[in-house]
Amino acid sequence: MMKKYIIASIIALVCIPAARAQVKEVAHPSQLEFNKVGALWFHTDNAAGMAVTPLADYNQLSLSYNMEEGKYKLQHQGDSQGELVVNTNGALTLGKTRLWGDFTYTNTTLKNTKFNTTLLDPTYDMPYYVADPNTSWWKIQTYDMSVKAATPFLWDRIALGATVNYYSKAGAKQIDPRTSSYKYGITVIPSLVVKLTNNHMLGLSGTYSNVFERTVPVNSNSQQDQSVYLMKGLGNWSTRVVGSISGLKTFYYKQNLVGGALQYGYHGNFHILAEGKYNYRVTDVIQTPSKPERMGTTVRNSYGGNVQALFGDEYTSKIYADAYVNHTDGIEYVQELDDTYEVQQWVTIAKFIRSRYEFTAASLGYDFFAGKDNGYDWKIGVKGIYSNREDEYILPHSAFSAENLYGELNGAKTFTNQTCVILLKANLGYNYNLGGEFLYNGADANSQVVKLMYERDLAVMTANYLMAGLGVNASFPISGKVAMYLGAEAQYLRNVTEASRIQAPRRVFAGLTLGFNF
Amino acid sequence: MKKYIALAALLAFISCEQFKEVADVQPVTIITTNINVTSENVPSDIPRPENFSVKFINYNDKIEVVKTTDANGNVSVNDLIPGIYSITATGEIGYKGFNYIYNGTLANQTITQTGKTLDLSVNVSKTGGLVMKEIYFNGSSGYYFKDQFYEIYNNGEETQYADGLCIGTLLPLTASTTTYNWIVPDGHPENYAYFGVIWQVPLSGEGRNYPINPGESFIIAQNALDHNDPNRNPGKSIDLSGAEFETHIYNQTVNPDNPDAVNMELRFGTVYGTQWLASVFGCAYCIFYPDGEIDQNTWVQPQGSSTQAKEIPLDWIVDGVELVNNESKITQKRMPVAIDAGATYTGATYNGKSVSRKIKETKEDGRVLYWDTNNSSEDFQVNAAALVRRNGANIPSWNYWAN
Repeated sequence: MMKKYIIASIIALVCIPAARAQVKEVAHPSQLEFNKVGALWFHTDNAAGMAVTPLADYNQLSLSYNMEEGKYKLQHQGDSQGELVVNTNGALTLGKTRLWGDFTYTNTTLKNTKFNTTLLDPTYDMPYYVADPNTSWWKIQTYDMSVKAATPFLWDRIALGATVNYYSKAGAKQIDPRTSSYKYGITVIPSLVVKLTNNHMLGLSGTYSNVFERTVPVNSNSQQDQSVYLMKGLGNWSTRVVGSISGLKTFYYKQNLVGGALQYGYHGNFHILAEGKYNYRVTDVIQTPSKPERMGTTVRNSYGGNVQALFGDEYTSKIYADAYVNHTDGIEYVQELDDTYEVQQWVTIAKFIRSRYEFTAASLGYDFFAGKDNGYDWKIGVKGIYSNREDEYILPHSAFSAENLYGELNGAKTFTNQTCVILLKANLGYNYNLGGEFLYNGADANSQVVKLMYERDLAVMTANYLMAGLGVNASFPISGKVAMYLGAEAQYLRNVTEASRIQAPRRVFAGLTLGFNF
Repeated sequence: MKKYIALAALLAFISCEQFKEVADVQPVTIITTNINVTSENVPSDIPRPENFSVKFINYNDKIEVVKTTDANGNVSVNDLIPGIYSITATGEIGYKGFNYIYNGTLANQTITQTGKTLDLSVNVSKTGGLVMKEIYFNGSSGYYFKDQFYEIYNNGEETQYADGLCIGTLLPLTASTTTYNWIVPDGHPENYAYFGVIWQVPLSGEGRNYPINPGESFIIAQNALDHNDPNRNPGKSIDLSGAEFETHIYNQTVNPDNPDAVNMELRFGTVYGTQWLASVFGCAYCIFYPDGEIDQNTWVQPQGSSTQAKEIPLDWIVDGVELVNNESKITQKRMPVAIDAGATYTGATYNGKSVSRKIKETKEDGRVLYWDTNNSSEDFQVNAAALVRRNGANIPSWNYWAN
């Protein structure tokens, strides 16, 4: 029922602007981008801040096809991936309320993935899943909807807002052992902004998120059981089977997250906005709903902050920085089966933190825009990203680390003539690996999980690489109210580390978009 | 609106419970456990080994720790990771021409706190007698299952007789989290094994029609036929036409009765089809000599279930082997640990693989002795293909039809 209301809200948000768009001019690509550059609060958790730095009205509908190809990839990713994306988003003022909405449908095909039997979104800090070495396709469909709303300042003092996101995913692995998986997530972030003075703003937001994933392992060939790895982190696993009457049953991932953020903004001759946030997330992994057996739990503490500064008028500068740490504990359970008549349940005798996953990231960037018609004539930017992953399996002790520094220079230029507006973009980046290793002291150092998954993933994550990309977006006004645009983008990643170049030489990313602004 | 408030409250409550459960979880640390091996059940006239080898196996973490006790049977293990362990103690000593095997097991012991002391009682058995030497249960390519067979070998120094010997499978049929709480008349369910099916070698006269000399073995086939025959599973199976016994029920064109092979007699349970099909996922097999006739009209049932089983006293059982689907099922054993402290498996079905005992030693006359420590995790190996009378086991003299 709730899903229905959310969908109806999204449709209303997308349709209402279409009717109102008749009174406004068509936005060109750089204007759409610049619109979000100036809306500093839009990039925080605080939707109420849209009352401070609102997005100008816009509406967009697009159809894209994106692909990736190449061996520079983690094992659970596809040798090639293709996705069809339908997206619509827009912003408007409805009455006195600022609204922004987004709806995205994605149909993804991953070709030749390995070592992920069950998860729609495998991540480094979810060690409890099923893996197999069979090369397989995955097909995944995603519906993702978001709404942000902000009241105007009430009593010229407080603005209230909320962000709601709902997504649902369905996917299936295509080779035995295969799974059909379903996942949904809902996030609600109520927020407020208090106007301390005309220039100083203080914001507060709270986050609640609930995610549920269900995955059912099954074999197409019911006569051939499939041995799988029940993963526990850093190359540790136990053997299980998909198939037969005693094979793995349905897995459930139940996740809850609570968090909060504080924001401070100064809006005068220049704008500065700082945000600090923290959230706490627990994910339980359970097998068999009718006789629940705990497969593990992760507990993540995430804290970080970001700062944005915007100054200048005709020439605009934006400086942005963020840093965060995700610390995740992996909990394993010692359980006994209580086979007492009419009980028949798994009883937890003890639980211990068996593994830890820590990811630290920080970025710093500067963009310079030479202004033109609410967009920009040209732009140049530079950014640096530091990331460090340090994972540990406590007993028997194993460790995985990868530390990287990425730097990028990018630029864009708008060309205008009587029939179209063209935005040309280019970027050039280099990743320098600062270190990384995988030390394994588990039970089976020669297992496929160690040799073909962790060691290969390490090679990818500790490679130096060069990244270069080009993009073009040509916007053609169809009428005074509607513009059609065609976009194309390509990124080329070249591994330049001798040790891993043959195994994981490159990755190509490309995308084509047909869209309408109205 | 009330509905949404209630939903929000429910979600908040659920998340609070979830958060509370992980609030005080501590990092894992190494723990110490002490084992005291005792042998009070062993007759005093049999000497004890100087020490015992104690093995801790944690199947979930794939951990195996082996220690040796001191002369008093004590050992301290100070590098265990908390978990569920199967602990076995083994020892061996020669005395008056016989080898005595000491064996004891504590199955599925939860060890999560340091300083725990466990008493491990061992029993003794003389090496020798009939053992289940090779078991081929999981069928061959093409989902062909009529070629199952069981080879029983005289691993001792004296002639044994197959007459009256029973073979059967325990319940539940396959290893799983489904367990039964058996109700038995004497109130001691731990003293029995619970059979779903029992077959018996015909017993007549003095019970000396089927002698099995040391080094000889006999085959109990599902069908004593050449399963490589073009009408069956050509090129993918085995020839069992020389089997001594078969579990035949009635004739079928493609599964005729082999007139040479002796038909086993079904003593308990229901068997569907033309012959005895045991689960290709792995049964728990025992062989035993019954003390008298098996009464087909009495049985026991587990609490809350209509499943019927024949309860057989553990001291009747000559040998037992627990077979499970795969390694992950070892902790879901059905067999009492006194009969088989471990389990073995082939890991898949219809792959033509079998399990057989490992060779312990080969005598000067070429006779092979096999491991029999009552722990099939240790005693058995997995073979890429089943083979009748592996390692040169001899055919009994009364079998005139085997090649």
